[in-house]
Order: sequence, then structure tokens, then C-alpha cells
Amino acid sequence: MIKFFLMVNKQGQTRLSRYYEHVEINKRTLLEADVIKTCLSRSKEQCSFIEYKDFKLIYRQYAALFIVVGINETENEMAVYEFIHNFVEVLDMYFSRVSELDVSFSVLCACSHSTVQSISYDYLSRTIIMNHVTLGKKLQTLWSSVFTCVSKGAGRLSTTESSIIQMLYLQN
Amino acid sequence: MPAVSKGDGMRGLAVFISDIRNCKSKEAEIKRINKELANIRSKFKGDKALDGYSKKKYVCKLLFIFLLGHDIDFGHMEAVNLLSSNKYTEKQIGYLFISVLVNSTSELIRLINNGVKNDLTSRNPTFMCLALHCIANVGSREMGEAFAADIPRILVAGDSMDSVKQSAALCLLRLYKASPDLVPMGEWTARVVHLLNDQHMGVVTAAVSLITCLCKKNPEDFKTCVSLAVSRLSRIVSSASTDLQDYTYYFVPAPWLSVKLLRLLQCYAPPEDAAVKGRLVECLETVLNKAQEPPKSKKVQHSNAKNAVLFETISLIIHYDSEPNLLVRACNQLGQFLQHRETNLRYLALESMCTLASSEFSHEAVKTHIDTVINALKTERDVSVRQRAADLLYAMCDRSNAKQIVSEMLRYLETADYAIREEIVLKVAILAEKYAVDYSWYVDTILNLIRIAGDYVSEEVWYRVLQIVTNRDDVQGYAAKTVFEALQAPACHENMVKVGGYILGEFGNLIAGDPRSSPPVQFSLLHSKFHLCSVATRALLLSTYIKFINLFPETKATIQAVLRAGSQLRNADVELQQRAVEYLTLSSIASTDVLATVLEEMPPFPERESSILAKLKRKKGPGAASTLDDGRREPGPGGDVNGGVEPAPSTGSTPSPSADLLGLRAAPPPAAPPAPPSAGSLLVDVFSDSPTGGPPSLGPSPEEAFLSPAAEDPGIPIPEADELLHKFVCKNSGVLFENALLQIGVKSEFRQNLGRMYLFYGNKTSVQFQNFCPTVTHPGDLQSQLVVQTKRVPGQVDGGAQVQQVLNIECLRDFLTPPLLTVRFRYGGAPQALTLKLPVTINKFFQPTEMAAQAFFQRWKQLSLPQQEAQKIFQANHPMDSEVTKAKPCWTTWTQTQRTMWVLGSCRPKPCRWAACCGSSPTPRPRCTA
Repeated sequence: MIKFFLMVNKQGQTRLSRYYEHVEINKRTLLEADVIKTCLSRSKEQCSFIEYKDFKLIYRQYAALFIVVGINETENEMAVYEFIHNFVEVLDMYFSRVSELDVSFSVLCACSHSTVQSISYDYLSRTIIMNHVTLGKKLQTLWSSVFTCVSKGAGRLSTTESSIIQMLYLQN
Repeated sequence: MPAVSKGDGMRGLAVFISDIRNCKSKEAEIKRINKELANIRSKFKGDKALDGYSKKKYVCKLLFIFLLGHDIDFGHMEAVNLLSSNKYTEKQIGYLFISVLVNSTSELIRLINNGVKNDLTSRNPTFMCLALHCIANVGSREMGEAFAADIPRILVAGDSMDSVKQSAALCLLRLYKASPDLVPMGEWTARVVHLLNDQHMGVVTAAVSLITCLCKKNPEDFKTCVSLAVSRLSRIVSSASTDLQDYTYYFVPAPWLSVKLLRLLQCYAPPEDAAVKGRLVECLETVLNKAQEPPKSKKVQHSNAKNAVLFETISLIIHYDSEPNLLVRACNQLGQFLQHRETNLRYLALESMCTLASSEFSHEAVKTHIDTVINALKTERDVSVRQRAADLLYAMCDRSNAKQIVSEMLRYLETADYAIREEIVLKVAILAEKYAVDYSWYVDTILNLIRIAGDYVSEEVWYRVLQIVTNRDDVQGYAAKTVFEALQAPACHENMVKVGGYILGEFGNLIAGDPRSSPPVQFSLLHSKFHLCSVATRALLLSTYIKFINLFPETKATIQAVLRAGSQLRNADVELQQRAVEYLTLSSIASTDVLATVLEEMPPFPERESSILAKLKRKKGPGAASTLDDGRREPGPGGDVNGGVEPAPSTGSTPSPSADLLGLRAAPPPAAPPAPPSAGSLLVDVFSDSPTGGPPSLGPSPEEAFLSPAAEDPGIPIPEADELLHKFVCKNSGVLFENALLQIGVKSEFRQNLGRMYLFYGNKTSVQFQNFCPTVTHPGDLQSQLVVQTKRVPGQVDGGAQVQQVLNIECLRDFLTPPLLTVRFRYGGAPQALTLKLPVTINKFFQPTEMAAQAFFQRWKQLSLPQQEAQKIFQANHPMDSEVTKAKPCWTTWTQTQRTMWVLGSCRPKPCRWAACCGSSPTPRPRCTA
């Protein structure tokens, strides 16, 4: 079972977080900070699976952005690892280049739509995500601006990220 | 999916967002937001009814403001209104706002539920999906209560669209995880299973997730999913790489669905149906075969996806643990990965192999990779991979490769990461103990361990080595020599000093013959470390010194001088000071004999589960330990004999106040003794109302008469048990039993209602008794009358040796039957059992009270009621023993139950003619006299 899905940049700012188990808000911040610290301390030749407390972290790095998934022992590490990539790839298909901001947006977008649960509990096949990510490139500019704006108010972003992007999604 | 119309952009929102973005300061931003909030508020409150578009726009703005980190306290109603809109975008914004902002405020929840319900029944798939997502996203109990019953219906309805089914399955999964009790099981469960056959792969994926979760609780209900999952898996695995179109990921057909199906199968045992099983085995073989084929793509994504399926297949094979052929193939496959250049694969291969090592079919196959694994331990750059390698070495260790593995782990320990050192230390200690063939190797290993990683050697580890050295006399000399040598290193770890101090104190005499390790040398070596050690170690060393005084009298003067030194006698630490003072005094005043007794060599420790293993289990949690403690476990070096005695169950029951005196009037003991030749049942007769036949005779002492045979459980007392017991009625020590094998001596003392008994079991043969186990049982009611606490005794009694057992006895009430002592042991392989009566009789708890004859008769005469008095006069069989009766009239009070029992020796001028005994109870109850 996937416990959480995090996107954190190198500076330790959480771009997206979704929890599939109850975690108190203040504990989330601590957890996220600790998780990113753990990931940052690892070198390229180390493996992508970290035993962390009583569960495992699977992480992948895309430029300055880390995607970290917390799983328990019932999950297949390699499948989750490749799922992260699949996810990013799907997003990449819709954006000319996937930057940190774009990725955050698009994921939020995907999350916001019907597959919120699906990504989360159960990574479905990519088609599902694709079906729902029906965004056009045109809107990228607007999104970027909105995102920058939103990220200024960092406070609530991680907990309610999906919504803002859904809103934007509807704008087109 | 709804077409998103491009012309629906909300200009006002975009302007607002760009305004915010252009704000130069936080204050400006807040000002802008407040202006907007005021604007929205006035619009919502205004007389003019807003159209859907404006409502949507303002709700969006509110949402945006909320996301910036400001509180929103209005607009909920407008959002709920949007739910009833027919426009997709408006409806969706409504749901979005609700998912983010609404908590279960009662009034709104009702309205929201209404909206959701309408959409669920709308038959418009898009709206249904929105409603299902809202339920899943909110996931609250209230929503669950309202809709948990509807969702299964939507899920299995024939006319639901694929996307709706998919959403319904995931929504149900979410509700089930949040509150399992809300999701009703029913006839839909059978139909959910059939979703595995669905045409749409998305539906199948969602259904597998749902079933995997549900079947954990009700495996029987979902049992049919096994065959369906197998056939689905078979279709995927055998499909060409392009068959599944969208579901093919880099030429791997539906990798995630395959993984999920394999995971679902791991919830069940191997299929019983031969056809299904055959098909499944075929699938598993196909996956293993494909791993050997050249890759269809050079991309890493292709191999990652393929390997994900492969690893899940291997987990299923390990889960079944019944196909030797597949297990060995899996092991070979993992062996290839061990040398793969991808760190991730090496890590996963080591992890999977660790579980493979515990299967009897693949253990040997895993062992062939030992060199690769040792190499991984040495060369891996990633600590977590090295740790996996260490785990695997531990799992694959057995007698044949223990020495190699232990020495490699010791070598690794020198450079190991600090984080995993303690665990490695524990593992080395366990392996060394478990597979030790000769104990000198074991001692060497542990001492090396302390030398290399002394800080990480926990107490359990060095306690354990002491236990084993103490219990095995063949290794004691070697241990003493080795620690002596180890202590000569200029800097040695404190744990080494502790082990050295203990071992030399016990067995230093074994190496004292060598002039290089003569007693003074041993002492000065230990004492040279003394000042550098912590208080606990110094305390241990002081004990070593006093033991030295016993072992080597020639060191007495030196050691006394050390003890007498101000730094000890006036040490600030209480423990050290006390030890110094006591040891000094002991060594000055006690004779050599006393010293030899007090400072005797430690008795062997009782064998129990290795404390180190317990520690490792604690450290790793139960899951991790299971692979360590598998079926291949062999008896530990001390033998796995658990020879301890369970303490006798102690009963805390208080005596019932209404209990009849001695329990005799109400119910005479059921099994009256047929004929113990002496006055076995004498007093029973005396006390009962029935007249006795035959001439009454005076037994050796009246108390003996209380003894009636015990209930014959758990073993029949040997025939002479009564006779043996009678010897002890008035005696507190002697030989209780003796035969060709065993002698049992007893020594006891009693005070008031408490007693302590020492039992000495002597092995008269030259062969060790195995499984030696004395137990004390309480026949009949004795449980509530007498508490006997036993101390453990060792499980082995060596030939010619004697072991001692201490029994603490507390009398709670009057009792008739003595407790039984059952001794069980194995002598030369043959089990022996022996049941004796423990010489604990009621009279042991009597206390004499002096009373003049007149006083006695005065009391006697006060007994007025006829049934209070019973008198028997009988001829003494034996001359009255003055030891028994103290040759004086006496009271015997029995304080515990506040009843009184008086025993009269002789009240008449002519002694030894008769005895009287009377009892009284504080309760208004007939007294008995005799």
C-alpha cells in the first residue's frame, strides 16, 4: 500500500503531497523535511529504496525535483519505482519540457481530476492518467504565473494543492 | 470525458491572479485580497441572483484565496448550489470547493449529500464519476454512512460505464479503508470477482486493488478470484507485446496489472484445482523464461517494468514454497542480478534471496552464491545494500559455512558503518553460538568481537559468553587463557575487562600453574585496568578480587590492601564502598571453609532461549526475526534443554471463614486410607461422628493422624511414600528417599505459618541426568490451603553431583494431605519418574504454648455443648516421646487462621498415658476435642 506521494524540490519545499493514511498536519511537515533530507544525502550510486522507520521510501530525482513515495511491505518496489517514471512521462507528453513547476502543476491536475484516488492508492495504467490530463500547452504560461504566485503563500500549498490546479484546469 | 470548452476561461479570475502576482509586498497582497473578499461578499449578499458562471467565478476566487493561506468563512452555500448545476465545469468547481473546504458541519452535509445523491442516480456517467470522486476525496464517515450501500450496486450494475465502474471500485476501496464496518458484504461480492474478466483493463486494475483489500478479511468469500486471476494473468503474460495497446509499457504488457494479480494470488494458498495450478505454473515459467530472452528494448524502462513483474513472480514462488524446480530457477535468476550493474537490482536480489534461503528447497542453491555475497559485503558502496548482504549471509549460514561467514562478518565489522554495527555484532554472536563445533572457536570469536567493536557489544552478548563458559567446563581453561592474553593488550575495551574479570575470578585457577599467568600476575593485570573503568566494572572487579582470595590465598594480603585503601573504603559510590567494606570484613573474619562456601564457583546457568536472539528479535521486529529463526535452527551448544522448573502455581485465595474446622465434619476425606498399618486414619475417626471400630491406638504422635492419602495425581506416590513421610513428622532433616540412582535429602525450617525447605538431589550414578525436573503438585483442595514456591533447578545433574532446590512454603489454612513431589529425569535415555510425599504436615506450623494443667482443665470445662467434646482414650503404641510433646502440657496455637489447636502431652501425674488435642474456632461452631 502506498502511504504517501511527495514531490519536494532540492530546497526542501514541498510541491505536492498526498497522504493515504492519516498523518497529522504538523507531523507531515516534519516527515517531509526529514524525507527530503534523507533523499538529498544519497549519492547516485546508492539504490533508490530507503528503509525508513517501518516502511520504505522509493524515490527518483528529476533535475531539482524529487518524487518520493512511501510504501509498506505489500508493495513491489520496482513497480512503484517505474510508476513514478511513467507518471512523469505522461506529463512530459503534454508539455514540451517538464520543469519542476510544470510537473507540480500537471500532477496536481491529474490528481485533481477523477484519478485522485487512483494515482494514489493504485497507480493505474497510464491511459487513465492520460485520459484525464487533457491540458493544452497554451495554458502553460498562465499556470506558471499562477504557480509562482501560489508558491509564495507556501503555507497551505501542500495540503490543498490539487484544488488550485483543478481550478486552473477548468479555465481552459 | 467532457470536452473542455476553450471559451469558458474566467477572465476575472485571471486578472485577480495576475494582480496578486504583481503585488510587491505581503501587505499589498493582503490589501488586494481583502478588497476581493469584500467584493465577493457583496455579490453573494446582493439582491440580484447570480448566474452559474459568476457563482463559479467567485467560488474559484475564494478557493484561490484559501490556497494562498487565508481563511474563508463564507461561500459554502454558493458552492453547494453549484452542485445542482447542469454544467460540468460549474458542478466540478462546486465539488472541488467542497472537497477542500467543507468539514462535516451538519446542515451543509445534508445538502451536499443530496447533491451527491442526485448525481449518483443521474445516469450521466460524468456526473456519477464526479460524485464518486467527491465521496472518495472527502471520505468522511458521514458520507460513508450515506452512500456505502449504493456504491456496490453501481459497481456491479450491468449498465454502468467502464469509467464509472472504475471510479466506484476505487471509491469503495477508499471507504473500506477508512471505515471497514460501513461497507456491507453481500451478494455483490461474487459479482465483483467477475470484474476480473472485464474487457476494460482499467476496470480490472481497479477491481484487483479492491479485491486484494477485501479478501484479506474474508478470504472465503473471494476464493473464486484465484482461478479468474490466473486466467487473466495467463492472458497478459502470453500476449504479444503490442496486444494491449495503451496498457503496454515499453513492450511489457500491463506490468502493473500483472504485479497486482500476482500480489492478489499471494493472499491464497496454491490453487487446488490441477488445471488452474498447471496454468499458473506455466505463467510463472513464462515470466522466468522471458527474463532470459534478449530485451525487446534497450531502454531502462523496459527492463525495469519486466523486472518488477519478475520480482513479484519470485515472491509468489517463495510464498507457495512448494515447487522446488521454480525455487531453484528463481534463485539462479536472482544470482544473475547479484552482479548486475544496477544497484536497485542488486538490492532487490539480495532481499529476495534472503527469503529464499529459508526454504528447504532452495537453501542449497542460495549457498552457491556465497562468494558473490561476501564480495558484495566488501565492495558495495551503498550501506543499505551491504546490510542486505549481511542479512543474506546470516540467513544462508549453516554448519558447513559458519566459520567462513563469521570470519567474513568479523572482517566487515572493522569497517562497517556505525549504524549497522550493533546488528552485525548480534548476528555474529548468534551464528558463533549456534554453529559452534568447538568452544574455543566460539570464545575466540566473541573476544574478537569485543576487541573489534567493543562499544557495540551489548550486555546480552557478553553475558551470554559468560553463561556458556560457566556451563561448559571443557572450555573454561581455554577461556581463562584467552582472556588473560587479550587483557594484556595495552588498550582493551571495558567489555573485555568485564569478561576477563569474571572469567579469571571463576576459573583463574585453571591457568595459575603457568608462571606467566601466576595469581599475582593475574591480579596485577586486572588491577591495572581498574582505575580506567566505570563503576559497574569496578564493582565486578571487586567481586573478582574477593574470589581471588578464595582461589589463591597467597594474594590475600595484596588484595586486602587494595580493599582497605581509602579510595575503596571511602569511595563516593555506595555500591563500591559497600562491596569494599563487606569483602574486606569477609576476608578477614571468615575461615577458609566459609570463604570456600561463600565464594564457590558459580553454578551452571539454566538454559533458556539465547538472550541475544531475543534482542535481535526486539530490534528487528517480529517480521524480520522470522527469517532468522527458521526451521533449520539447531540446538544451541548448551543443548536446547529447557530444564527449568515452572514455579508452582501460587494461589492467593484466602481461607474461607466458614470452612469447617479441619474440613472434617462436613466431608471426611473421600478416600479413606485402606490400611496404612499405623494410625493412618485415626484422627479422622476421632473427629467424625461415627464410632470407630477397633481399639484406638496412640500413634507415634497425634499429628501423624492427619495424614491421609493424597489424590493420585499426577503420579502415584511410591508405596513407601507414607512410611518415608512418617519419619519426618517430627523431624526436619534427613534423607527423604534413596534408591540406586538418586538420593533426596531434605532440610527444613518452619516459623509460624511460613516454612522453607531445602531439597538436595544427589545423582548417585556416574552418568548425567537429563531433563531433570522436580515439580510440586497440590492434590485436591491443597491449592487453596498451602502455597509452595519452588526455585528452578538446572536441567542436568552431572554424575556424582548434587543440586539443591529451595521451596518456600506458606500455610494458608489447615490441610490434611501433604503436597506431592514428582521428580522426572532421563537416565541413560530412559525416562524416570518418582512421586513422593513432601514432608510438610500441619504440625510443622504448630506453635507450642505453655499452659498449666489447671488452666487447661478450666478451658476444658467451659466446653459445654455435647458435640463440642469428643474424647478418646487409647493405648499408646509407643512410649511417649518427650521430644515430641516436650513432656509438658502445652498449647499449640496455630495462628494463621485464628483457630486454636491444643496439644496436650501429659496432664496427668502419670506421663505418657494419653494425649489430648483440642481445637477451637473463633466462630460459634462446635469445638472438637480429643
